[in-house]
Amino acid sequence: MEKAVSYPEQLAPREQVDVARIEQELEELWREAESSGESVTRATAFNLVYFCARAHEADGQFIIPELALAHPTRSILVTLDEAAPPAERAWVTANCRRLEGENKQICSEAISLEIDGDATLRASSLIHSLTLGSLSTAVIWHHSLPLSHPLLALLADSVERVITCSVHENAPASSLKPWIEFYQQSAETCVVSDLLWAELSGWRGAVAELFDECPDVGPLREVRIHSTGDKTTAGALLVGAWIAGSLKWKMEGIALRGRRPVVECSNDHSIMFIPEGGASGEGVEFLFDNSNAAAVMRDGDNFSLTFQGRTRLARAKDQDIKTLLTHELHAWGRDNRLHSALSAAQLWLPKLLFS
Amino acid sequence: MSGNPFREGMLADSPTDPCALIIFGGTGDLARRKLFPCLMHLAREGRLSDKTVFLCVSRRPLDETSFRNDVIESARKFAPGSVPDEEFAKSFAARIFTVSDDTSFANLSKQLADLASLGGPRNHLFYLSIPPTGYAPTIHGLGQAGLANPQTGAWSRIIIEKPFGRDLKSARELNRAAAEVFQEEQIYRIDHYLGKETVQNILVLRLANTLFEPVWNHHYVDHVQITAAESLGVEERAQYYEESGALRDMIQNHLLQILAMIAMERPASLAAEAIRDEKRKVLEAVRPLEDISSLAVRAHYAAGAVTGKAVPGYLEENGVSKNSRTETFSALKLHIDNWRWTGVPFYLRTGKRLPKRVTEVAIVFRKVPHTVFAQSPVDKLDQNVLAIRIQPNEGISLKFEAKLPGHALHVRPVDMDFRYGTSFGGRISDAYERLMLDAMIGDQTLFARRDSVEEGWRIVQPVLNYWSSDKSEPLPQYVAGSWGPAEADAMLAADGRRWRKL
Repeated sequence: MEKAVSYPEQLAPREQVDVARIEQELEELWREAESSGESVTRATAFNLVYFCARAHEADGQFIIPELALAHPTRSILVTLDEAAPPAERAWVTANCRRLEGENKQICSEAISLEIDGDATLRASSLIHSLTLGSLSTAVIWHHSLPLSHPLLALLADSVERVITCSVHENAPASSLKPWIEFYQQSAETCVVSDLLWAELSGWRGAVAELFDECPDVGPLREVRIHSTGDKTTAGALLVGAWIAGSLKWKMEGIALRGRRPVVECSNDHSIMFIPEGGASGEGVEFLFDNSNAAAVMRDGDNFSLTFQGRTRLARAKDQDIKTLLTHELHAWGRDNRLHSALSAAQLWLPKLLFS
Repeated sequence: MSGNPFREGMLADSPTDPCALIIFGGTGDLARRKLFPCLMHLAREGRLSDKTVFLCVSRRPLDETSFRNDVIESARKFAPGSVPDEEFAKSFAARIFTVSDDTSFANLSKQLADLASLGGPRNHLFYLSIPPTGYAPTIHGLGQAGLANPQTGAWSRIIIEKPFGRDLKSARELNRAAAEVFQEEQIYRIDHYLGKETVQNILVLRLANTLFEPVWNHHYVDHVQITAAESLGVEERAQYYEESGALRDMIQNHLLQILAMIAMERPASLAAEAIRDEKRKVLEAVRPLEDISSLAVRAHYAAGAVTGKAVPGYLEENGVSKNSRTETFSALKLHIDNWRWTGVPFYLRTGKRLPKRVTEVAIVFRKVPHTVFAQSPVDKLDQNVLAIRIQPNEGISLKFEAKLPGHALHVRPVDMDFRYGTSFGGRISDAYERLMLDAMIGDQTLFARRDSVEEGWRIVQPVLNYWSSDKSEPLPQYVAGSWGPAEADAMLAADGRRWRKL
């Protein structure tokens, strides 16, 4: 198999180009590359559009060449500054990787756009004119821009994939509300995901690993989710909703046990949120009818998995933003587990916030 | 694991059960060049349980520390990137243990029991990476020691490297010996071609696209060519190769397995047995070879030049008998007698010292029934070809006719080309990674089942018999660096066809 070395190179220096001539400038770029005598292959599997606020431009400049190593795309980095006077500026280049053992570069076109002032309102049409029509388009929406931005709603109608970076798992559960709303509005027209859900894959994997040894969930009665801080966190809410969805537990109401909110489900099942964390820190406890107990707790770089008094460690794979996004861009189908978890979270959230 | 509701939708990411991987021949070339580097990649990606350990069984007692160092250094040499740093090297090396096979299988059993009693893995995966003559005695020894019978809640599996026998009779004997000790669902016959991404992609190409399946039959396909060409000679394997030859080494297993993936009916599901049932059915439908001289070609290479370097002929290679009649090139013409493929020949060829290393399946479609360009300069149209490149430049290309720009009607074949290397970046797993992982997970889809192995031998056995009895003339030769003997070209020419230029 062809193997790529793990560093990106750029084909041409960054020079500002006329926005109206971006396609011609890209053609010129390839002509120059071909005439240079070096073997260069232009590769594009899909369009990738990365939106962020101007102040966070460095994030996009870092991540796009990294993503190009795994996903050959026509990438468009769009930075917005709505407070500035209206303007549009553009640059073109190509992110390349060398094939191991071959004097050959695989290159992905990269366009950078700065869009200011009310020109941001027209950005959608400019992006559409620059995406390759025969290929799918994925949008990454950086957390520096609000999910309620009208541009995102416009894009969600016309692209195949939207990846948002809503909140960190330790943010309060209430901060998930805008994202759940965006998901509900957009999930019919495109595949929507969020890096918070991707971040939680370690927790989900650890819970699954725990139950590999005790797959009989019949006697399971209560789940307790411990999180840090004094409020139920976004991560805790999503993990709880995912567990309920996996177990097919349906909410019947929300109550308070002491100060702790409890989602009461059918057949006397319940999910309790314990925001203060407690001595054992973040984790999930499982209580069974037969007095058995099991738990997944965070223990430094590991998860500790306990069942029937025996504890073992499983390595926690904390993934950086590059790994998370690379993985997300491999998946173009709807994640039914996320869909189910969000359906539950959407029902729970108003009552949890009230409680 | 199937009852775990939390696993739904995440099976692909789950680490395997903890197990002890016991490699017979663990100090050999395959283990050092392939198996350990692959295990390292799997460990780095979190696909192996932290409790999985590796026991290397060797003929001579080994110093464990120096063997561990040797494994790490070999991985650095043969698989750059498999050892990212010293910390990983240390932690991986600590999972390797050595066992000398001058101790008895009972001792091995005791060591594994001791390991389990200390909290180590209770699952056992035995890997036979030893000369084939050692297969039956080793399997027997494992059985005698009770190692084929797992403890309650644990599993015991065995991976057997090819060759599975050297003819139909010995294959049946080996299968019988294995079946006396292990159940079929415990036996994993490895054919590394089936672990290659491009071979797995054959199923996806056929089952995930509406475009191809409707034309995947005798109504539209003229013939199929399967080529596995190597530019290397016999290198250090002369002793093995003299006993094997191209037909046994490549066609009986790799190429027939690929043929089965191409030609089988659509399985009802992706379950291992559903796929393996369809593969068995299509191999059963391969017409028995009768007129061998017109359906099979063999030859060995004469001195020539490959990639600009002069190379000796096969008979001049070290370790090769001067009177050898072992073929380094073989080609077969097969027919599949079923509804889908009636009348469609499958041409298979493989050889050493061919111009380049390339493995490809070409589906050559029928000519258009009527040429409407008769009054134009277009007097001949090429046939459409769907080429599945298995290695190198892994990918798929579709050749079709297109009009050249201009006033006159000139037509030229062009290619639509998909390449893994340009469409998907990142590292692509080695076939052994996938296969070892599948064996640990318990997925037999990509492993050869007993019946398909025996069918493979059933197909080639008449050729082996004919060739072993035919001592009349010297074996045909082809110049090293050419695409094989004239007889192979003549076999297709007799049908009005020719081999693809690769």
